[in-house]
Amino acid sequence: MAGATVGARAGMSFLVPRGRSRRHFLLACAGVLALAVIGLLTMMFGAVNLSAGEALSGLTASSDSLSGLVVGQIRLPRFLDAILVGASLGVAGALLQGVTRNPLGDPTIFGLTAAGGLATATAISINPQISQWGVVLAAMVGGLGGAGILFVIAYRGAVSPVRLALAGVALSALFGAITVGLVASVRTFIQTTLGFLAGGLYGSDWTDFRSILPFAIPAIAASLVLAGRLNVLSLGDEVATGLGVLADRTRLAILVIAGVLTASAVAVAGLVGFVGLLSPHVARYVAGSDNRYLIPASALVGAIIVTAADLVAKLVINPSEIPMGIITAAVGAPFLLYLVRFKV
Amino acid sequence: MTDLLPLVRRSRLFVSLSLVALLGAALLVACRDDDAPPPPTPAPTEAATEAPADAATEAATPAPTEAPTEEATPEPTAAPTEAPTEAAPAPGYPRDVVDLFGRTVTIPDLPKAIVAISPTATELVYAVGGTVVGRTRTVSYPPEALEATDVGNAYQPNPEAILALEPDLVVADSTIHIAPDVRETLEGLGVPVIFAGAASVDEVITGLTLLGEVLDNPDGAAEAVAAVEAARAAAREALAGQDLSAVILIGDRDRNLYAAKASSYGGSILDAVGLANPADVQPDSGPFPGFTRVSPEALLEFDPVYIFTVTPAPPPAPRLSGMLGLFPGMSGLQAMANGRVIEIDVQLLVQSPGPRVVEAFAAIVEAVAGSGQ
Repeated sequence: MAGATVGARAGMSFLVPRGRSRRHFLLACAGVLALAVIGLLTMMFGAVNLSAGEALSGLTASSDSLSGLVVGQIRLPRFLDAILVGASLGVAGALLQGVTRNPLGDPTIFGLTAAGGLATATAISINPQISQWGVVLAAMVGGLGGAGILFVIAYRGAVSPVRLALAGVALSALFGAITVGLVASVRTFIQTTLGFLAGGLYGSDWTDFRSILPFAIPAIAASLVLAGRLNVLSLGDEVATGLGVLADRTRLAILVIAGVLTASAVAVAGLVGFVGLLSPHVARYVAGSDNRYLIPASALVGAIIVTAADLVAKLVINPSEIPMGIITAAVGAPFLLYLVRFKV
Repeated sequence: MTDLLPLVRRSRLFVSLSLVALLGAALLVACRDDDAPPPPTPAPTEAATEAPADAATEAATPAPTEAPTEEATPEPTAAPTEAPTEAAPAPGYPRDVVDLFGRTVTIPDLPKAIVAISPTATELVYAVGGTVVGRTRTVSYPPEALEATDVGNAYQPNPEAILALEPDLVVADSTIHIAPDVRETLEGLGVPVIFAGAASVDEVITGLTLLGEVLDNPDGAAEAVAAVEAARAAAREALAGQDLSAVILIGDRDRNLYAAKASSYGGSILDAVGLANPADVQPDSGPFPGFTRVSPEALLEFDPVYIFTVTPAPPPAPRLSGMLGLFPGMSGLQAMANGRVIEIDVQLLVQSPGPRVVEAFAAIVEAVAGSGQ
């Protein structure tokens, strides 16, 4: 009985948020709305242009009609892939920025993307006919391996955020160099080098979606669970320890989660840069720096950035497309400069 | 407990809105996908190569798996009736063909709207009397193919653009569309896909024969094959008994030189006309399949009678034949001293392998004749 009352009260506050919650609620609504608008545009435009009605009916139409096939088998899975990739990178960026207390925290800058990319590139060059699950597995090995190496190198009695950042930059350069060398010399890649290095979602489908869903969603959920500890960690190790948070263990857990998230994104979209760096800054600007809000907001912002960038990438030189990572960098970099100059 | 509650409630806002909604929607959609199995699941792809008839039928026509709506025709024979028109198929159709990947594909009816997604595929279709409604960006031959709709570049054809043309056949390229995800995408379009291509002179012949079957024009295909064989025989004869050697060279921006081996299309042309190719003994190296990277020293050691150069960049860029003398030591080559470094159209030897191999044979014979051998 008592439990039921508590549940009902929680339900009420969910429906009628007040104060700071209200602001967050409205922002979340705005973000989801933006994502929905991008989704609708994605379903409508491409090599085949559909009206909004056709696009929406295509969502439920069987795949022997043109709109059903285009929307249901090409656009929708790619849009959902973009959401997962964006959310994963956004959260990974937020986690790394939080754990290193460094505004430059980003899976690309810290070498996790490069580690995932290196493992993926190696796997593909060994077996060009590798399945998508094989690619995901390789990316996971790379992402976690990268996170592990990062932690081991940064650990000297205790993990210092500064060492973590410096080691990350060095590892990124190292893995990146090997990856570029591999990609440039192995013939499997000759046709798709740019797509892999710049990152993009060409040809991504339901198989890709299913292959990273079981990694991305639990990892995002886990990062929400750890958000509170990440807040405490930002007060400094002494305070954190005093409050009962095991600083290094939390950092390791967060690095592992960031590795899994980065690997999910790399396995589907290649080396997409800038989303992990940009999303948390945008999210912080609108949602504040409490990680319990920042992390989900980063996921939402990351998803919006990647879905929007992918839409643009598909339409710019339609019916060909340019790698989506080029759009995220071309739009993301000036926007980050603006934030740095005027807002942060 | 009381401390925790507000925190939990507030986090729940974001969690439930952005994440759970996302997850829920995503799962719903994934389930929908499972309920009505569409072509692009990985199974048909793998099955297509191993269990020919049934799997190819599945991959080629999406409808039969939609059985729930069409209970009247539950038998496997539903496939042929799923032709784009309700009318009976042309005589001799549906027919099964085996493409260059060894897949057996069922062609339900005489294809009328073909999308060809490489220069080779396009030229093969035209060589047996077909036409295409869709082509890739770099297609340059035959001229009438340029009127077809652009569906993107050959390496990343746009699936939506292909579907928009409502094709009844997609001709993909067995030398380009190798990656499993690209194959999966193409096979998932719900349109019969055949892979043709031309990694060698022999594959040109195989490809012509295949398309003759697919387009019900075996005589046209036999004619085209005969033309290739006649041109090959003529070239062999013109070059016979002279103990000639030649290499095909291509350069990249960093001034690395690569020579075609017999496993490349250009190399197979040298082989077909009976020119010795000293580069063929080297292992594959560098990024181009079937090519080997050659240093100026290696080239001096080969010292071929002829050097055929190809330059991928369009004309304002200098031709490799003119540049070769700038590489150190190249003046010591007999081909250089005798004026036998000859530029050949990059389309003929590298970019557009296919029925125009006839022209490639002729170009080589002409180059040899024109340089006083």
